[in-house]
Amino acid sequence: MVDRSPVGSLTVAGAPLRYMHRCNWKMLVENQTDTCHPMVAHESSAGTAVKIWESMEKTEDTPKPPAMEIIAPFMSPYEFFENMGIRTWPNGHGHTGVHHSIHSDYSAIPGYFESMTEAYGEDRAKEILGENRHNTVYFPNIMIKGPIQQLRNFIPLAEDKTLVESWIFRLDGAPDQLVARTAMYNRMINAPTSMVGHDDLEMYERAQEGLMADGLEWVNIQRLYEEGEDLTQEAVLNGTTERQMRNQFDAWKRFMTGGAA
Amino acid sequence: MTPEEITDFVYDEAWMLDQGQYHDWLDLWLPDAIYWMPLNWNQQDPINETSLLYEDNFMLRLRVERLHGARTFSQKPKSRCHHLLNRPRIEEISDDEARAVTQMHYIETRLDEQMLLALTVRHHLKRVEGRIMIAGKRVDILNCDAAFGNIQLLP
Ligand SMILES: [Fe+2]
Repeated sequence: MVDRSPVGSLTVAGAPLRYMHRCNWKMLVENQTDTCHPMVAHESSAGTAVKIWESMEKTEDTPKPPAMEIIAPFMSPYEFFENMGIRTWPNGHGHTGVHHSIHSDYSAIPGYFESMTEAYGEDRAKEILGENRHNTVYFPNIMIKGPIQQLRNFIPLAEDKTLVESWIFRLDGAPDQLVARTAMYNRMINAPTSMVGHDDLEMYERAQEGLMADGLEWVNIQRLYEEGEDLTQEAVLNGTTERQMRNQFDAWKRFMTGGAA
Repeated sequence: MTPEEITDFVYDEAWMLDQGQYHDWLDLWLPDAIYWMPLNWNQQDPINETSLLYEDNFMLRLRVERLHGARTFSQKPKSRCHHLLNRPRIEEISDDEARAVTQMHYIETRLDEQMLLALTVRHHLKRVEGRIMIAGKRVDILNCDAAFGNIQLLP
């Protein structure tokens, strides 16, 4: 993320969002690499955005509203998320978006690539900007979005209460439009007033209620489980695997039991 | 514009929101108008810092359509809201343009939860083809920097 600044530094931009979630912190951390919920949970926001845009009378010159660039990619099909890839590291860390991500197709900001080339040389600049990681989880409770300079902190307050802070950063030496897009992403996706946020929080709270009801003993996170899965090894896999969730629980269990498990 | 027209407009707009007359409410907005709700107290920059809302016509329409959507699970059951208004203070007034600021108490409820927000609402109004319309609206929440749960409707 720091490499994306032509001068190699970041500055916190504005106040962080603070969003209270009535659910366990682990649900939020799992959600960061859950690539099978967006097209279902966010159909109400992203799907509706696509429908409105399609129904609007427009010519080729009609500018796409910013909401279409930020929110609409949540409606990408399963295939998109499968091909996006997922990487897990030992001790519960991992990230989605190995090959591409929902942040890959953002429009270019004039002057940015030029200033990056000047600072790093063309090859290195291309390498830095070619990294399109979606969500990077630093277990237990930090998530970073490198391509859009966002850090989210999941702060557990009780077994059923989590405060989510979402911070954004300005890339020092880069054009203003970048921090403007980052601020837009933050408010459209992660604010207590965000429609996408409403979609997610409703699911978390319903899931929490379900867990409290004690009707089911197990939560299934077997998606794309492979026989002999070794979580002590780094792996790059199909983007819809739940390996990263298993990786988190493996780390959690070891840390909570002091290595006894 | 007359002070009475402005006052009536502000009261009518809040009434539409409370009654869920969202499509009529969308018709009040000029094409370039923005609904801004800052995140920080006395926030000056809506673009390069995070706000709670900074929404153009497309986003407002998306909000309204989403509230009516069959697959909007966070609105099953639906939220309700209620505005209690002080008399608008008119800060600028001319034949076809005005600015007013209004203190409001806003209540939003869903299921067993109810939330009270104290608001300072700034309206920028213009008369276009005889109709008064919204050219811009800024809503400052008194505790804008608090950790909220969902705010799903429009304060
Ligand atoms: Fe989500």
